[in-house]
Amino acid sequence: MRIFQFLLILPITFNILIAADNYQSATWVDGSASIIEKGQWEVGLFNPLSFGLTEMIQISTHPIVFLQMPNVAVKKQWITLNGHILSSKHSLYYPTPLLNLIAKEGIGGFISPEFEIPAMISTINEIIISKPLNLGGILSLKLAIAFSMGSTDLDQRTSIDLPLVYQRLSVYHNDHYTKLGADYKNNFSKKIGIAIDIDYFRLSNDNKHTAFEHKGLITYSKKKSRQILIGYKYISADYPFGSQQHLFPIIDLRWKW
Amino acid sequence: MKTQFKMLFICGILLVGCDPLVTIFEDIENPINYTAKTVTVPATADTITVMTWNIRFGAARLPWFGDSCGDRVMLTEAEVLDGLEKLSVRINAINPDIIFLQEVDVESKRTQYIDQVQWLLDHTDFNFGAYASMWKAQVIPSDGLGRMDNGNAILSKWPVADAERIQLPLRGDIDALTKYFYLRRNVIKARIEIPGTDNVYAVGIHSSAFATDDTKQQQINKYIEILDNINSSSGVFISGGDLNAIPPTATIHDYCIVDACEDDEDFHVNDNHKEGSYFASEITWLQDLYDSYSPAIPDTVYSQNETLYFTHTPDWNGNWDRKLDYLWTNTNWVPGSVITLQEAVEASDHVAVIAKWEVPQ
Repeated sequence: MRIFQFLLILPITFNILIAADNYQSATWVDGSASIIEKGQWEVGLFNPLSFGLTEMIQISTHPIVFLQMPNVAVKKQWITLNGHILSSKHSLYYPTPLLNLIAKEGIGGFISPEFEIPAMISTINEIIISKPLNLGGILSLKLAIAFSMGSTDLDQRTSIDLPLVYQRLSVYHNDHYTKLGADYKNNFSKKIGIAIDIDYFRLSNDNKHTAFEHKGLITYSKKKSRQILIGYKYISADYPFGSQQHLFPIIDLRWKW
Repeated sequence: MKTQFKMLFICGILLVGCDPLVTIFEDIENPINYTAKTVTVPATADTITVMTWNIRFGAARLPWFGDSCGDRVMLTEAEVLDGLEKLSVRINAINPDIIFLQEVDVESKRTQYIDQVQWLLDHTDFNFGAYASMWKAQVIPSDGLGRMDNGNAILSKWPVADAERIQLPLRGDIDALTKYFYLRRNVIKARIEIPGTDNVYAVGIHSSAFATDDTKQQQINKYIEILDNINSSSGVFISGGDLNAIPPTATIHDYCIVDACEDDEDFHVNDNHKEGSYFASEITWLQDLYDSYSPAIPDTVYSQNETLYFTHTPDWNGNWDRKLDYLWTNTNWVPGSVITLQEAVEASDHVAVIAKWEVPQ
């Protein structure tokens, strides 16, 4: 247990120590307003498959779950001015097959088989502004509004009250949510960098259900086309039973070509 | 550098603050203490009324999937409150001084996160309680169960002190993954501060229902050891619970066919028995308890007409057909005071056993 805690604290410490330094701006665009280059592909274990459709538009999808949860996102860069970039991202999800798949008897049943998940979709619309900072790195500010349609018949007892999952599925139980967020990325050498983000979710109008998420990652790129990310994710959130905090280790891999 | 140490400290606190996926208990832990919304502690008494009841997490007689061939998993809030209301009506009619509860939910998704210990305290004349989890996980990734916190409780009109949650052996006949997410049975023990006494202990138990090996025997032996320790240190105890075992003189030992669900496999083929329904091989496991201590219903009384003392059926439409619930003491029950509350057909798949106990002077 202590070793586990140490392994968690290590990247946190490392992040803090290096946060002040910088060498060059980040080249991976996720979390920022930048668009990947035309014709280029990016994918990660926990990141969507993205493709640069034009110089100003990228499309992406989560391929692993696509068959059970068809999803697509379009990101368009609108304005570039003095290094500032303004983009918007629009995502569409159809989670019904996936949720029906896990509404089952026995192991893997995260939702009671009593319930039939109705046909429903959600859309997340996000505005992103990125700005290079004088102290180095790129800061991105984000505002997202999510809506669902077809979820009025969804039984509230179908919620999955787990960190990350509960917040993302709340759009179907509350019809909408809003999210405010900020990302900071900085490379302090050709190979090593950091990525930090914070997100605040307002899951319902009564302010009784909110969530705060924070991620800290060290990025290592042995080649320009590959990146490994190691860090943590912290979640403090309200659930139907009360508030909880969680801290998870993260290991991610990304490729682009 | 100072800021960095502060950040490290905060990160350390966050790590400590994180809940594990499944709660694993030490051998002995403190249960959670409860107090009713309004407290009125009675004066001492020569006799007190003791009750034990497996309340089936307020599900009343609904066809829940896990114990009755049903198909329900998630109860509605209205169903849970209705179930609790039925329980409280029966409890208030008897007005016991101490109750041993089994299968109480305090923070479970299936019962809409209603804290049933607090609810029962606030809707009965009990003032104090102690709760020991038996099944506590952020998520049970099976059948849509989700978050679970279910366990044993002792409620009392007098203060509950020195409470302990004592871990019982885990099932030995299931694979490691199932075992990780499975129930962790326990004994809950507390000293009841009845005025004029300082050594009255209440001991509650709920032993394994479905083990097919000797897990239940080990649990019962541990339970007897706990009672022996109180007895040998000049303490007196009242004890109750659902032992999931039938009396040594019970005439029916095999409920495999009676309990079988429509989609169950065939039983009695290749020595195959339904989990929790075959008692022939364990019929002597309560004998030591009967030999050492005073049951509210002695085996000689039970054997004269056992149907009067049945306390359980897994069939939500059926009649009580076996005795699993017991009260014990190392002193004396008031003769003729015992009630097996068989008319409470609406409140649970178990019935309460009630008896008056002579408070040692």
